[in-house]
Amino acid sequence: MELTFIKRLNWLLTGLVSVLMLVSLVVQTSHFNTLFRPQAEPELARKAEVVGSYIVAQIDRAVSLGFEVEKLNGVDEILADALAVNPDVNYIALMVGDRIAAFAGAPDARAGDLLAARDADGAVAGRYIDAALTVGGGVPALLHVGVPAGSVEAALNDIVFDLGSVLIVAILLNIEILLLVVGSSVTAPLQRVGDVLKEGAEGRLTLRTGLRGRDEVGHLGRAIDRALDVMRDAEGAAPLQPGEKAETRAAAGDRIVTMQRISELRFAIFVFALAEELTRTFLSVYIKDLFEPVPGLSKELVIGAPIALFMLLWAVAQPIAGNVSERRGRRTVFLAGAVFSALGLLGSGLATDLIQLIVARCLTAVGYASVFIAAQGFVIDATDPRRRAGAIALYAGGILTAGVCGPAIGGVVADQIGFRMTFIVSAALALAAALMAWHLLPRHVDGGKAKTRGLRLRDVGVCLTNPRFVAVTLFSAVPAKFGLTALLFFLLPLALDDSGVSQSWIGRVLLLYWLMMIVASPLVAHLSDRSGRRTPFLAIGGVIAAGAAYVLANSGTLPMTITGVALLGLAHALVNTPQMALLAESCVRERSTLGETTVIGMFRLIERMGSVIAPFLAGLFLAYYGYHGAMKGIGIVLAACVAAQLLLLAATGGRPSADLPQKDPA
Amino acid sequence: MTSVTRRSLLLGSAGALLASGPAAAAMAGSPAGAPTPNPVTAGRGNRPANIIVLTPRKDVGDVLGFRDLLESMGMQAKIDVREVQQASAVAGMLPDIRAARPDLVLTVFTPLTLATVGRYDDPDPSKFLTDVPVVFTSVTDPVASRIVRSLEQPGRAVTGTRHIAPVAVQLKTMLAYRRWKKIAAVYNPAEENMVVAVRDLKEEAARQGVEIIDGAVPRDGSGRPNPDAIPDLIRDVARAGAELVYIGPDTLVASNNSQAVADAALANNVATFCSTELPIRRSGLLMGLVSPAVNVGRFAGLKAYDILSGAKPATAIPVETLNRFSLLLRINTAKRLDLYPPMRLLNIAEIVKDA
Repeated sequence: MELTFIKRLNWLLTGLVSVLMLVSLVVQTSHFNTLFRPQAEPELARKAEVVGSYIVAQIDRAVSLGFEVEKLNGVDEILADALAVNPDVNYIALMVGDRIAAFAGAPDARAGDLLAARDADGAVAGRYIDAALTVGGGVPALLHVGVPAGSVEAALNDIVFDLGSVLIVAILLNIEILLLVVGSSVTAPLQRVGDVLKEGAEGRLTLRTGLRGRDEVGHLGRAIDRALDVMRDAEGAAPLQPGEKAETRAAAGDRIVTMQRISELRFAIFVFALAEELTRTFLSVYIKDLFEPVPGLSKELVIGAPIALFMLLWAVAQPIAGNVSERRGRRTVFLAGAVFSALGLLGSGLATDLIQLIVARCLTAVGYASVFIAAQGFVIDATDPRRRAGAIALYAGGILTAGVCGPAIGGVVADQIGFRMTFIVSAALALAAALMAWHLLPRHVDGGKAKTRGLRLRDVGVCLTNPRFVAVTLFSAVPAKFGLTALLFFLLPLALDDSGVSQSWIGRVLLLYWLMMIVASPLVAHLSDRSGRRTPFLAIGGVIAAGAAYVLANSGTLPMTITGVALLGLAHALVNTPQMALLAESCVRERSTLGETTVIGMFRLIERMGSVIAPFLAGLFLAYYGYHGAMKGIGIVLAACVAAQLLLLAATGGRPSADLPQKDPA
Repeated sequence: MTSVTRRSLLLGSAGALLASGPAAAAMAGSPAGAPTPNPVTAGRGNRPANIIVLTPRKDVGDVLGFRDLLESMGMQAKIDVREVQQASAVAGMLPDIRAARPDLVLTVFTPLTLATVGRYDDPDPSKFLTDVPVVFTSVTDPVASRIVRSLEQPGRAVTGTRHIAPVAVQLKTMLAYRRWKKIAAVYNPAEENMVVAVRDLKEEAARQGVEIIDGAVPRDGSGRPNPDAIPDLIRDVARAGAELVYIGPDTLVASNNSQAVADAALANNVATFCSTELPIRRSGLLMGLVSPAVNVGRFAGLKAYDILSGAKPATAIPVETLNRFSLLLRINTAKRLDLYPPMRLLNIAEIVKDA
């Protein structure tokens, strides 16, 4: 399906939405500064006064009993007590005269006996909002309570960033819904109309649009069909055989239904992938929370186990589920997979120990593998080879979009309702996807399509003797998956959570990776195709990925982390499409003997092994070298892979190119 | 008169338990949780219950609380309060008490209780009251004093209430005021419960790294502890480095000579702590962690009510202590000693002011 119409509409609407959101962002931000800020600061000062008045009451009571305020004992302790129950208060100080008599809180607020936070022109004063309360007694005494002045800024920034995330998510959701609505009810029928008219122009008047919708497009289709009937009758040709007519019409109708179904399937896949992506920001943290010591194994290794097992089961289950879906029907496997995943996600949310969680995660993995392979199988079954690549790209786009939206939404949701409830929301999403598939996927009818042969061990041998296959698969694709899983799915969420970064922020950081993929991938595909070169992209991408790991290893601040994640996204965008092209160009012989599907299937299977070993290796590194050392170690592994890949590719010459479908689900 | 403001104190592990069950009912002053007031009288026939109270002084809070609780429960009772100055006088009163045919006897403090019921392992009916249920109040350690076999199961028709906070909680309170290094325990070595109490204090203090100076009141020529020696004793312990004088539930030292202790301690610039209420209210002692006597008496009244109404036999009623204590603080003593209380303690203390 060509998406020119959708694309135009999409850009228009997306542009409109973006402008509206940006305008609202600007308006909101300036409003915050003019309206919200003047309100927020007195509010904070009031809070400080409430905390202070509680302490003043205690001191006043002591004074009323006849104790002298400057000789009171243990005031430090009650100040510390008050600070402990009011974490957003920075300091509390009792000043007798202009000297501090008792103090608790931020050390930078005091300078010896003086209150630095109270100096009108000091740099410290700007950091705090200070409230002063009078204490009773003979001598002049004041209680100062300080709250951070920066909290207004921080709150504002958070809102701005939230709105930014919402903007991106909204744009992508916009695309999803446009694809669903326009794709199924406008573009597909229009393409059909075009095909029918083209046939008619060439003198073949037997084809009909077969459109029956009640909308304008349906009206158009019916009008054209009638016109064709009239033209055919006028030409005096032999009346159409009743059987023939019915057949063409039915076939036409089927094709439109198919394209509509793929659009709808994309939405179902989007919803389904979203279920898993929602848990992305906190999965490794959640596993750590459930951690129980296993004798002989380090903590980090045990934490890695559920993620690694998930990836392994996914890799193993995918070919098996593919086979089953060919025999039992795509619908059955899709539905079973979605239900498995829903149960697995529900189980993950309810798990009380690590074993339960691992079992639930395994169930989810099998479900995922089943759903994705069944959906891909349906798309392949339902399309002719000419339109297949586009159809696969269309459906796989849903997964990518979910990758962007999921962590951003999931982080916010997890911050609000907690990890366990987010899993339950995910389970509900998986069920919703199952419900959509129930409606849109056809019931299994046996026969017709030629079965693709399954993967055999011997085929792996055939491919692995090709050094260029090895270079692309083992040293470019595997490290890419390895880096993604180790850094983004495992280490980074743990490291950020450890340093107190909120789930919302982790979501925003992870979002950036997918955003880079979405933005840069088509650009790279274009450049690579135009230049006909693949190796430089793989090499540069591999080096950038290693560099990204190095940046992440040395990132002490959020901006550095963001840079690292964006670099990793860019790196993977650089290798993603050229990888598939190079695979096609390097494996001409294998493709002709084993078939295209088998070669790609094998590539995907081996590639996924990168995800399987990633948590183990990352866990091992983490146990010995800490977060920074582990990330650096992963960078070294990635760099070594680039070197090996370059050596292998240089040792073997280039070969003529041929095209393969280039996009595939992650 | 001393003017008093009340604040409850929840201290330490033992003291932090919320008052519950019968203890709560006794403290709250209403029969919450207890059976509905039963106007039916006790004992034989329909006449008011006949109760004899043996107490060193008629005005102790225990007796007021006891009387008050029975009244609030609607129990008809004739309460005959007899003042007994010396515990040794009890033996002579026994025939008279028996002749009055009481339904229940209430005894106040350890010496009178012991003189009335004797030891559980030496039940001589000729010397002690063994055929009438006895409820005691404000007894320090009835097991150590051998009044009952165990707190949970007294083993005979003798039960009652204790009034002293656990020694660990008392020490924690003292140390919360200041981190004292040396504490002197001034006590009457002739009172067995005090010997036990001081031994317990020493054990707990050793765990906390605090030294306890033994301040047993010296005996006079006839072997009786001599209260006149108390000022000199306190001067001596102060010279030995004691920063605080502890007095326990001691009849001789706390009940009868607390003013001498307070004066001598002030003169020697030493702080004072007392584990019972009245001495702090009556004399210039600095502080104490106490069960208010009225509440202890109410709790004893509740146990008496259970016995008299026939709800439970005395043998089945455990000996209990209230689990909420009050920190009493005498402000003027703190000022005179120039020992300002820490704000945390001041916030939860009940302030005792001089008249």
